[in-house]
Amino acid sequence: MLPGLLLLPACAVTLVAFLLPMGWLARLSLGRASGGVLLDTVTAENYVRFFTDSFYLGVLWRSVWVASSVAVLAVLAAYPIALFLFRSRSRWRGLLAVLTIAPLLVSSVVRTFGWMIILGDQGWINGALHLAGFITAPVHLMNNVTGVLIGLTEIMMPTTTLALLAGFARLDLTQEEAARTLGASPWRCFCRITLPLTAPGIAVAGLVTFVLSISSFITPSLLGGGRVPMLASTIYEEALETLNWPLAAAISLILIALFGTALLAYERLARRWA
Amino acid sequence: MTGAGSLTLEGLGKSYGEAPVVSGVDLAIRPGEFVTLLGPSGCGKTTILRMVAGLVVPSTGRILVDGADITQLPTHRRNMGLVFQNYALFPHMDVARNVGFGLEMRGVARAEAERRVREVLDLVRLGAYGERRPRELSGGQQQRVALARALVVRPAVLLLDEPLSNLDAKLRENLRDEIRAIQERLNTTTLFVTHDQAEALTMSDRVVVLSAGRIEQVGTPVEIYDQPASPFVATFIGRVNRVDGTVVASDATGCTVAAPGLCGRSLRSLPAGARVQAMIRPQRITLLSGHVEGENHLAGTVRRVVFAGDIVQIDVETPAGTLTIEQPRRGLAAGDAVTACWEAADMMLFPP
Repeated sequence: MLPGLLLLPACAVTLVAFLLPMGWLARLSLGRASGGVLLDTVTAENYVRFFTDSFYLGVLWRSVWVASSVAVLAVLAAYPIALFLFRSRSRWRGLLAVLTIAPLLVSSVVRTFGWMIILGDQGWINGALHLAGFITAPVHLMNNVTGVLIGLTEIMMPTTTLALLAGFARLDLTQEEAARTLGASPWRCFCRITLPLTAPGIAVAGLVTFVLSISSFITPSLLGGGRVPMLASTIYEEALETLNWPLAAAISLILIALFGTALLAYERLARRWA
Repeated sequence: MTGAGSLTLEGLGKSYGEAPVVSGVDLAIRPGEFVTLLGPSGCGKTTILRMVAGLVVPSTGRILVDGADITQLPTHRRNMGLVFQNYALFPHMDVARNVGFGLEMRGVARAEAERRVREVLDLVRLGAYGERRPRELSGGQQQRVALARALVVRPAVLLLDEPLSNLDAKLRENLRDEIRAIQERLNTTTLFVTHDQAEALTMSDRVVVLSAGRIEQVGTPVEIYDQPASPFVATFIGRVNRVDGTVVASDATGCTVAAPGLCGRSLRSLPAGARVQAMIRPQRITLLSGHVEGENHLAGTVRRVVFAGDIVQIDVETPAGTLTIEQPRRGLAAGDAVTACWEAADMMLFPP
């Protein structure tokens, strides 16, 4: 009886702060706005518009593509770090782990500005390349998808590393040692033992990175320079600039549906390992 | 199915920074021999095993298999079979794939590999379990799979790292006998690491007793039990009663030791005047009723009687200290006057 009662506050908060607004959002997405005024109608036209307008389909496709790429890049970059931390018996291990996640202590706005200094046309990379005589005109590393990919990947890496570590529970170092004594070279040991046993970590890290990337707002806006519209920035524009709240609500629900799809895909994978 | 290599360790040592974990280990193991590294935790026995497997790089010394130096060889080219305390089975493969892993790595043809996997699974009485996952097996079964996985590649040396420690007592004894029987049948050279002296004594051809990274004694189980080379070996293998005394007379056949209330005779000759520790095992002491005079007779009073099933443990207070006696015979009670006596051959003497 008491454990059930203890759940009540959380349930109440969830109802008021999450389920009710979600219901309201769903209702809003079926409405129509005219000159910033909401009209009392029920229509599917926001969804129809989203899925027929090439601009919005482009935003959807770009968001999925960028988020998937960032997930792959961040997992690739973070995997060796996570594996090293997982295996390390060094006394520096704790410090190294803290260093790995230390970027989380700095706001992603600040970190994105940092990337703008590095990637800009007059930035460090172009400056160095120019100084070395490799280029005469700057290589555009910012205000395009390249910049968004580079920045988002780095911004995501601490989180990706943590997620990978959390998913490494199945790996036991003696299993790798067993494989080595049985004649597996380091590379075959990695392919046959380490990789399969860390696959749950890769899946969960990929999911987390994908979900956080596809809903990220600041980094794509700043490093994309407004030329890489993604779902989150489009929702912002529709809601606060065009004042088309019903369309913004519809895009929000489509984004939530994407999360659901990613989660379902993960669930199916996870069930195979359970 | 044989894989009997000789294993030689020459001056093998390992240090982490300044601290030596293993130093100056010399050992020659004959093909087909079952040798146990025995010692308390932290004595370096597992480090030696891991150096043989190639998982730890030695700081000094050489490792030879059949006369060939393998010290620099990477783990996967050493042809060792290693069984871990925690089994270390691959959870994402079924039992047959686990066992066949080493054959797969060696590129053994599929039909041949399947035949050998079946053969070795039958050997460990798990013939029907090939398609199970490791987590569906009990601890004892998992360890038998690990044993099969190590044996199927016909290793030059089978390395067992406390393979029984995670199992309960009854199972441990069964598997102990089973491992020994399989090892004898296949005639596999085996290096076994344990801290359990019962395992060491029952399974081994020879036992290597280690302390603080050094070899204390190498010998057959009977040798290290009956003729321990040092007080450490005597106290680590089995239990002993210790009496401090002085040698009062010595000749070629032994010496006479005096301690409070005791005129003792030992078969070991130590110079007269030397202070010695005399050690007598609890099972080698006979208790007589009342106070009886004689050589190797020590009169005392029963202080405590503990019933332990097969045996009764009796603490007797004597002028030379408290002795513990283990005997099957019951009937004594605290306060009884008794005399503890033993054979000269059962009194081991060590310089202090």
